[in-house]
Amino acid sequence: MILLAMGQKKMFRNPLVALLHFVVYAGFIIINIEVLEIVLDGITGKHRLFAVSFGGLYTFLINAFEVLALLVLVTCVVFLIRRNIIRLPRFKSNDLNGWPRSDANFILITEIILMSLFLKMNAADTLLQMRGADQYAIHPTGSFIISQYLHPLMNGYSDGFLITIERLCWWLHIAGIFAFLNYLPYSKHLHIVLAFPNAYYAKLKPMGEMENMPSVQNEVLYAMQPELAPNGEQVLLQKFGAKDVADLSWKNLMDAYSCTECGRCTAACPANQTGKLLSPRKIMMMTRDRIEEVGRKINQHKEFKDDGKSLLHDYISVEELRACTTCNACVQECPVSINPLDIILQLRRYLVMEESNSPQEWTAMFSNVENNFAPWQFSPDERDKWVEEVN
Amino acid sequence: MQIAFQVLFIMLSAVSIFLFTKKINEIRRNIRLGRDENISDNKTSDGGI
Repeated sequence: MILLAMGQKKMFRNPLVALLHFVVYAGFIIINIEVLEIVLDGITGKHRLFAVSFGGLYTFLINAFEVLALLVLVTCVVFLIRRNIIRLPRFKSNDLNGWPRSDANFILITEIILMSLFLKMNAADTLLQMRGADQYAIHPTGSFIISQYLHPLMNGYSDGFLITIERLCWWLHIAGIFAFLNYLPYSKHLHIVLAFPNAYYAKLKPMGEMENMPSVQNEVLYAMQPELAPNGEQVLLQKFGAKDVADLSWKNLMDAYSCTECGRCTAACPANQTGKLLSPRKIMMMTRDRIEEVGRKINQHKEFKDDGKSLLHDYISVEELRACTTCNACVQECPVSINPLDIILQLRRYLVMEESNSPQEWTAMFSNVENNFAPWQFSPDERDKWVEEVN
Repeated sequence: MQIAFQVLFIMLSAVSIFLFTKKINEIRRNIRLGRDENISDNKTSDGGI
């Protein structure tokens, strides 16, 4: 978890982007230290509460925050360019049509605005300090490394106007942060909260190994050894595979909420690359959409009543599911340790085992496996026939 | 005058944090709608991180 979530390990498959993302990630965490001071200022009515006690260290820290703020700002501009001008394939994809694309741009633009407000606020503040204005000069901090370059733009402003700017930026900045905080749960940006727990709970078993189905194993066992079957009514409560979100595991659902919609899974998917309908990213986004819909209905009606819709068929199509080769490329790629294959497989198991929904080629193969113990049409007796032909 | 700003700020923070917590708990409830899955296996010797 330390390597994946804190170290952003999988991001470094694309080193330049990983570096840029690390800037935003580390910048966000470190700049939030300053938010602590801002909140305390707001509650106590003081201005730059920590300036007094921290002394020279304070100026150093704010300088560091300003450098990071500028780096974050520039990085977000680069990301906007990647998304909107260069338009990489995984950003151009139809998966992101509509809200998801706007979501991404909105996040980046908000970050740029917030960083600008922070720098502008500091510029106005320190200029007022230099002029010896009112309460700003009481605990002088000296000018800061980045915002000092904004001073020439503000030299013509009166003290009163500068104070207005400083206060306005201060309020807009913290209000913006509170607003953004509340925007988080509705956006793909929620990954900043969920990436760590999602990495922690990720499957550690080797990826090629598929989960057996205990329900099926038990069926076979009880057929072979009937004395082991439980007495009385054997009610099979759990269906084979998954049809709707409640059939998926809680980890699958947490995966859905963790998805950053980056599209690396889809970019790596051999089915997608060869023109099939499957997009692992789309699978995750659909799962999140459906669980949100179910959640809204529970909010309205206190409990979930069957609404005649389900994840399977209404959100995810049969064609997408059949296209999957179970190669695990999507699992390998995901920087936040999502396992799209787990969901795809469960939905497909439902299709085959509960709906008998498989193409003729598969059905023939299933039949061969059951009767001939091999996917082909030849009888098991002929299994070693090739030996005779060799000799 | 200043105290008015302080009160406004505290109210803004409280409302904001309240709303955020409410939505996060809703998401937690939604995730719990999923099937139980035991993921405590395969811990590394240092406790799992």
